[in-house]
Amino acid sequence: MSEFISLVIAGIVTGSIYAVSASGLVVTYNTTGIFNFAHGALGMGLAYLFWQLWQGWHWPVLLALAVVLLVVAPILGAVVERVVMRPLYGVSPNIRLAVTLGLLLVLVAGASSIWNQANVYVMPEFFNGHQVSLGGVNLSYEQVITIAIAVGAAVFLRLFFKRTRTGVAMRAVVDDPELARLAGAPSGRIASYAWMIGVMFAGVAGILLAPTTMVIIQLTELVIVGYAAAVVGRLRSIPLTFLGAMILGIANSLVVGYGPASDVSDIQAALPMVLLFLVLLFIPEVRLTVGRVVRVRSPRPPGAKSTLFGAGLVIVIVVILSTVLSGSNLLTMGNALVLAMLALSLTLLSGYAGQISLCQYTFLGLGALSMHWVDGGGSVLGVLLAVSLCAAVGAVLALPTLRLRGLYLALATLAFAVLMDNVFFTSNSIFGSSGAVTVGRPDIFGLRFATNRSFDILIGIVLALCLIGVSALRRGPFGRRLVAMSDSPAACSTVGLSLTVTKLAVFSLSAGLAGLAGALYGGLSTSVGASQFQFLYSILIFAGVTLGGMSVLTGAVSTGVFIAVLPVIGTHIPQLNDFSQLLIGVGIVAVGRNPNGIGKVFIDVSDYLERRRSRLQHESPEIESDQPPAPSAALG
Amino acid sequence: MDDVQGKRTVAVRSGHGRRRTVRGARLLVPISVVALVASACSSTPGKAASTTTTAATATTAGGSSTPPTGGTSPGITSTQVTVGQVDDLTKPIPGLFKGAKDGTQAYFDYVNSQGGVNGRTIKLDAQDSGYDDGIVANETQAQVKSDFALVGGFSLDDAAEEPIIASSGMPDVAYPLDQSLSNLPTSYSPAPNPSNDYPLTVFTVLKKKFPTQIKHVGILWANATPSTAASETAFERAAKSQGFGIVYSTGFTPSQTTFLANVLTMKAKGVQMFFTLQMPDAYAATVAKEMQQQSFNPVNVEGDAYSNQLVNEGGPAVNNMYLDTGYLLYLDADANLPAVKLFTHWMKEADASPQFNLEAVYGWAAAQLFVEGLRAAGKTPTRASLKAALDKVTSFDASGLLTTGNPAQNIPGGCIVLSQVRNGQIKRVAPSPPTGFICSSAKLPAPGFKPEVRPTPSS
Repeated sequence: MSEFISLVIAGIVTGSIYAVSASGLVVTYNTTGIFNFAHGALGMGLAYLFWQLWQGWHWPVLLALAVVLLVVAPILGAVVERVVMRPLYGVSPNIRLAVTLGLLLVLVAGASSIWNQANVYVMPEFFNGHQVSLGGVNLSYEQVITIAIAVGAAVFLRLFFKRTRTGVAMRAVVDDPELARLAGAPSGRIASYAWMIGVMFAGVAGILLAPTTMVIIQLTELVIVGYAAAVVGRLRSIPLTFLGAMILGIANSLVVGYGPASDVSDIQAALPMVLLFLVLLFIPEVRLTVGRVVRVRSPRPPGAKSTLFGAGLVIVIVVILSTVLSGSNLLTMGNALVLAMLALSLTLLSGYAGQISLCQYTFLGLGALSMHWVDGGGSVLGVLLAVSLCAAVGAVLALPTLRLRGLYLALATLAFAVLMDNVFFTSNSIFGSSGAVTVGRPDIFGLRFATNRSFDILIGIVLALCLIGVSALRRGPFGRRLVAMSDSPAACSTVGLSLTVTKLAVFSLSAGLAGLAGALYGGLSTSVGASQFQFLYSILIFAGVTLGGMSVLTGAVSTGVFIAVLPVIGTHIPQLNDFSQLLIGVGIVAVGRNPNGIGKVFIDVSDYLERRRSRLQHESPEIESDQPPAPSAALG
Repeated sequence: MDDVQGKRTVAVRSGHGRRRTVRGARLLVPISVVALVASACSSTPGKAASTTTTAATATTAGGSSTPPTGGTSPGITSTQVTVGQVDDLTKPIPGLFKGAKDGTQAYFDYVNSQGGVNGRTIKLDAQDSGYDDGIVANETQAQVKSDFALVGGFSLDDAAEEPIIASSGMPDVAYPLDQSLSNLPTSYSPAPNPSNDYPLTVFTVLKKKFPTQIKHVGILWANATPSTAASETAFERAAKSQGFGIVYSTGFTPSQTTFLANVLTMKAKGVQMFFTLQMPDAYAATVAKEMQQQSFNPVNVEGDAYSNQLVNEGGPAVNNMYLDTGYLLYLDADANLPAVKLFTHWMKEADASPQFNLEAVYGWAAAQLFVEGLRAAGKTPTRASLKAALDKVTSFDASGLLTTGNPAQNIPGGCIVLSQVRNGQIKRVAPSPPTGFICSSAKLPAPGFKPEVRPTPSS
């Protein structure tokens, strides 16, 4: 019994850390309607700043703490709100989500540039070994303070939002900004307050976590565990969030004590995401409804002619480049094409249908594995298995998440990706004892594609066909149904469209396309391992597609090229490595001001040229009747 | 009227567009098929085979394009031998295994300063893995075409090298993390570490020193990759063979930041001796601090945490911690031994800010093993003659830096240095007097357990 109590107390300590970070998430969401994926990164940045002041420049600890939490954090919160977040109020959840991911990249790249991760940073404990005993467990003063802050925050925030005018005004602004403004609530200032408080919480969590780890990525990712706790509180209730964090912390601790020894670490890693997935499935639907005002006008669908031209251009460019490039540059080009195909699966799912997915790399991995499973990759049947298996898994994933959308769908797919990372891909039976498997290239009518050059051309052709297919789909009835579903599910249901069938179909198609990309990716790499399909890459490609242009085909292609080429540039110019990540981050943050992304620029240029041509033709009456249709950009 | 005209225009446009679409498709299909068939049927390998993109490799490729005058294998001329390696340099953590590159380069600098091997200097073609199996596979493929051998590489993704090395027969002289790579007949590790074997010396020494505590052992092992899990199984079998009683054994994940629940559980189970396997120094320091906090003081034995960071981060909590290593204490206690002095001197020559860590030691030792093989391979070495020479290296200790292992047959060295943290410094405990290693003649007696041994070249 005493062991049980000890473990529960240890769980409360862990749960308190989750609670502090999750509370900050909920405060921001509750008061601005924006789920801040950069919350952990903000905490990481402030923790490093605190280390710099205290350990680096030897400031007194209390002064350093006060400067970071009471001066820098609020200013940072206000700046982030004013510069990055304010343009996002009212835009689609996809854009909001991607922009906070962009902010995450900016913060991680910025911190990595300042604090070189090749060096070791140690955050000492504040109270140097002082401790108290509770239920047979010795707790350090830091741990007691963490518990106190978690409980205090839950109580304070509950009272603040329910009992104070500012708190009520904050909730009013997110529920109905226009009405709140009419009632005299200064919505801009209130949103600034919210971000100030949210960033302060992020700083507290970061500083509390720092003595256990000062690795930038680890500090940034730790808050992901807090997502589950925040969703238990439906992103609204601080007390329920606290409860969720405690359940998670205690369950984690009890698993260590009583779980099957050989599987403890696997269960620990999977636990937060299982909880997140279950909570999302069982919370009543009405509570998951997230208000959505889309002010972005989707670009026109690509014309058949322009798509064919663009697809042909892709093949021609690939053929030319494959004769010019050599060595690892051929691999980079192949990667760019495969990633463009993967991005295209997101164009279909997120750009057209408005469904968010943060697990596309999981399908990429499944596709590559399917290829390996059939004859080691040498058979076309492997490609068929990759497509059909991923489509089936996509449909199965879509079934329980049918009623979710926006942020909740993003979190559910993220949970699926993390679960697959921790349970499936790391399993001995999947990648074997070596952790990697070889994947061959398909034999098509005797053509074996042994060289990277020939395989790149094959991928280029497949990509071109996919572009044509997706474009045709967008122009057809199914495409119109997808866009309608994205614009207003309620209206679709009213006119008799089956959302269930449409969602299942688009999830399957998108996953199947990602699986096809995976089969080709495996063949290109010739060897794949679990590290290549981590959920973070799914986040990156989602952010990349948003930057490239979510609903334009050009955006998908440019995303693939961008993600494949930038690391190579970074390898050649090491100084540019962090800078390139910074560049992506800044670009995505800027997308908040231009939600159609870079791809829209191509359309704008194309439209301008077309208008100019039309004007010229208008001045020549003899050719007016034979005026060609107004095409959209090369690839839409 | 306008409406009617508009409809008509749309109709015309549609028809016009469809016609052009069909014509476009007709053009697209033959272009694609011709390009595809032409490229797929080409038997000439891509330039990937002979060149890569970085400046260093471009030079290498240039070298390989020159007809080799010193032998028939690629990567060797009358004046230079070029060897390749792939390391995790920028991802997943910047500079993760830069030590391997530093160590390899340091030994080659030393050898080159002595005039090289048979008049040839040795050039290192080091590539970044990007923490991506595909990049590793392709870079290795390129190095197979352009370099003489692979030496000193260190990558978490080295499993991707295995099929390429297996099919090419290229000698790979490095410390492999992937077990299937270490089992290849052309793989030679300076510190053999087969996953189904574990040296018994640490257990025999501790058994003598702590006869009671060994009956209550707790283990925390890295559940990072399938091969780390396999190592844990071998470790447990070896411990049990010496009468150690394991009462707690569980994995930890790389993302774990607190071990409080593990510590409390071990305390409740009465653990008196605690081992970690493949636990990095920062994690080991955290565990030690949490043990100290709970007034839980088992005999703490860390296998893989020897570093300055351990002492810096752990502070007083790591005092009395034992460390068993298959190499000299190059950071402190053994700094004045000749092998360590040479290593330290050339590491500083090779890089302005070298990484002194285990990967650097293995990189240095791999380079030394390769040079031994190259010298023995004759004046006009080929890959085959290098392999034949390495097959005869049945005893190697990197001039005393490492415990003596058998690279030719993949048999690990059985000796260790047992040290202990005392007042912030790592001091030797055994052997005494303080040079060299302590060894045990004990063999694994457990039925059904045999160390993984490659056949001798003659067999």
